[in-house]
Amino acid sequence: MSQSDCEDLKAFERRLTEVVSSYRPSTFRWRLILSALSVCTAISAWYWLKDPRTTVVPLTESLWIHPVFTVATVTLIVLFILGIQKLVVAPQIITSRTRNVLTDFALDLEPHTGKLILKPRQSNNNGNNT
Amino acid sequence: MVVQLFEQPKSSSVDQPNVSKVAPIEETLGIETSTDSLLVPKIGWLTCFSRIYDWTDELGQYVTRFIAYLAFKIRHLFYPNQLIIYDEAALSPASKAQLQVAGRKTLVLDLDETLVHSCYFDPETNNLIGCNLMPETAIPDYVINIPIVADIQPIEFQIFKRPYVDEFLSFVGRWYEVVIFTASMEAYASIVVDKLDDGRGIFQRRFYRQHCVSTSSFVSKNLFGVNKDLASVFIIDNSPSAYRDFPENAIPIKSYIYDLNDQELLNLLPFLDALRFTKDVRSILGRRQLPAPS
Repeated sequence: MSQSDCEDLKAFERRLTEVVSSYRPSTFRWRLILSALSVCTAISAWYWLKDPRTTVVPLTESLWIHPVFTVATVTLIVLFILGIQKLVVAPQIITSRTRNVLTDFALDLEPHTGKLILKPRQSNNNGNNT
Repeated sequence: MVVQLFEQPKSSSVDQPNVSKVAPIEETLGIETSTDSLLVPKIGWLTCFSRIYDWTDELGQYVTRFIAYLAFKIRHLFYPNQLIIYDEAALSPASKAQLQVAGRKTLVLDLDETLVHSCYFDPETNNLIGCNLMPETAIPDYVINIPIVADIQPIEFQIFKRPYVDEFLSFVGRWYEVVIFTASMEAYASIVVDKLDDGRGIFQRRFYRQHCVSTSSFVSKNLFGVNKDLASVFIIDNSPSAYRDFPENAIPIKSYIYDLNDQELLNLLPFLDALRFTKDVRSILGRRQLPAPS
């Protein structure tokens, strides 16, 4: 492999790592929101189920009595409708898309860092490849 | 700016005997009107009613749009990866410097089965040619009538855009000099390309069937005619014969017939984003495993 090829591969890899890492801050924020909301929903659901009034009063009233559970659940549902389950795995989605293309070129990508992996390749019988 | 030079004299009903004089709305509704419009506004309740009607109509449109948006989001829940298109990462100082050294590359794009799929209505047999693999519910993005031969009725083409083609083109248009190179006839292709471009000026140059190199069994595309420097040009095409003379300057892509879940163009975006930083595209594209010569 020539010097210029190595430089190009490094430049190519640098950009891929930039692309993958650019998704990290927003992904971290969404993961934080999702986990906090999930914990909040789980705890409030526990209290809602343990409340003796829940089995006696109508559903609407029991939800009114437990506003934390109601708000947390509704927010969670809305976030899932808006696609939070994809936003929390955005780097993996981008990485998997890139890997689909890189496979043709005897290349691969580390899922979390975006580092390039050079795979062994057979000769193309045209004398151009190393 | 339009300047009114003279005022047209108001013609009386005597001058125009055929024009019936329309009574004002106040007379029709039996409303008393005041001469002093500042003190008592004319038909105030009617204006109020029309304003309320307009407001509720506008509100209805907002509600309808919101419901449609929610339905769109719910539908997309069941199609993975579709909400995340691509976010272009900010350039690091090293990447900025590298981009200046690398220079702007030329991206050659095929049209049919790469960016769009089209089928046409054969006037002789009254059949849609090219639509046999597609569901009957498929709705074309464009329907265009093209006179292929003079004095013969124009042929109706149904054009189906590949999913995410607009987003794809908006990204690559910023990164590369984008060129269309199609084996289709210019009469058809130029209209489709205009529709895809949509006035954005993405496609810098266009090459059609007459620019292709034809042999008895296949049609190939000469990239030298697009850019003499093969280090700075590459093609995305679904047909391997198109780039058989330039195997190290090609990115293969699956043929698009009709698939709403197709993500090939989305898959290419991170790869193409990174490829523009190379000095020679062949250092990456040359690694492709070519089929053994027959």
